[in-house]
Amino acid sequence: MTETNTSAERLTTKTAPRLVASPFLAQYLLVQPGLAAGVRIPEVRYEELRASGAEGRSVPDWLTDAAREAWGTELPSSPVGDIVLVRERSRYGYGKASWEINLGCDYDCEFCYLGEKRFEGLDWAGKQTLLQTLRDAGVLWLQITGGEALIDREFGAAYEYAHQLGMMVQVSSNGSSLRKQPIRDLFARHRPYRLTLSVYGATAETYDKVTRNRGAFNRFLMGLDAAREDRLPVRLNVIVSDDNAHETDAMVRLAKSYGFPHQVFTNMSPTIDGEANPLATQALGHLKARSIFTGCNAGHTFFHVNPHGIASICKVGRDPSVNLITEGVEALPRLGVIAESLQLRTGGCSGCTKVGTCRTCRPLARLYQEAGDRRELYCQHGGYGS
Amino acid sequence: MTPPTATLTPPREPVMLTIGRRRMETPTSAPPVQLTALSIKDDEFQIIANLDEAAEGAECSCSAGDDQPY
Repeated sequence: MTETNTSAERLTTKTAPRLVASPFLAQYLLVQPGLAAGVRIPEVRYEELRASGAEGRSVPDWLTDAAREAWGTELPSSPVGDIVLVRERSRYGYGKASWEINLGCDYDCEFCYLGEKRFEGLDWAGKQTLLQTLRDAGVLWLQITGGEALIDREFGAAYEYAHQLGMMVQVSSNGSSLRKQPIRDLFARHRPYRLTLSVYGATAETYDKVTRNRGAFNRFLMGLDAAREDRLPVRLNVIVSDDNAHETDAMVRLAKSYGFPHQVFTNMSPTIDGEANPLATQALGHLKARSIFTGCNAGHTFFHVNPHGIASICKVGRDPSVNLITEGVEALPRLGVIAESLQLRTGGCSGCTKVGTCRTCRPLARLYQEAGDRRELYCQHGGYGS
Repeated sequence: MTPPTATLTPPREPVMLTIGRRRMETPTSAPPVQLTALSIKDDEFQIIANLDEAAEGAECSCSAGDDQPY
């Protein structure tokens, strides 16, 4: 199953591969979509699989051993091409990407960094083109996010197509639709690499108030029940704001009661348009300093794509950008140059003497500066992190 | 009112332009955070218990993405 640039129509009729062999940054990996374990292989074995797929050779003994050891899987003695999708090398060298499939959301949280959340994005043909571009860029790990990703009309088709192209797909969601049978069936057919769900409260009263959606908490719990029953690889993000901070411990207990790993997030950032509204919703007593910024490969090894196929270096530094739909994959290397310019200490950070211990990357600092420059929330000169 | 000192702009001469494709950027050779290539022999494979560990090189140390997880 050596990958080729066939038409989208043909690709949609393909099934997702059982294993994927792929270059990934400075290494070669053998992965089973949806599973946390994998196998690192030398280049010579990647080439062997590539040639075997093209020549119709059977699964080599070492691959049988590796699959047994990594996943407890017994591979049939079939042609390699029936078992393994060999991803081609990409001259662009990216390994990961995040994609906001749609900014629309069924929740209306006051602290959302997206600001205005419109239900709009690419049509199906555009989504297919984008996903092929991500493949050609070398993306092995793809995070599909939103808005609320699961309520996009073509989420299921896009999710399946990404699997067919040999990607490890991670989904970020509020979990409001997780209980629905079509979603459960989809995730049973193609297990996500990770399903990250946000937690906005531990009681119906608080959760529904934060999300401004009546009945949302009960639907969320039904989703968690379904995910546990289906043994999905869930991670919970506990989101602390001034409206739910009194339930922080209860939210953590909720996460533990399901046996899902969790992280607690307390820092809100300005909206992507530089509006300060989310900052007012922070629970000030719960804020935690970020770790010291030591560099970033945004725009070099990973990038972000908005619902219209506009790629930026990350979710924070969205401007300048490149249009993957009109310009194609050839536009992506410009992100590396954009990243270098966005990381320069310019504007309010020019000549800063505390760069070495700064906890805020330059694109994020710029968002704070545009949103009113409350230095105590991002800058050492305002006391942040001290 | 147009000031009496105003002069008409001379008609513009046509200028020859060459319209071509934007020069393609080439991928930069080294990312800001160095990627570590673990050594592996040609006749071996290495089991990775958690692929997050292998994917680390593509991450951002600033956790900016984590600031917006909601």
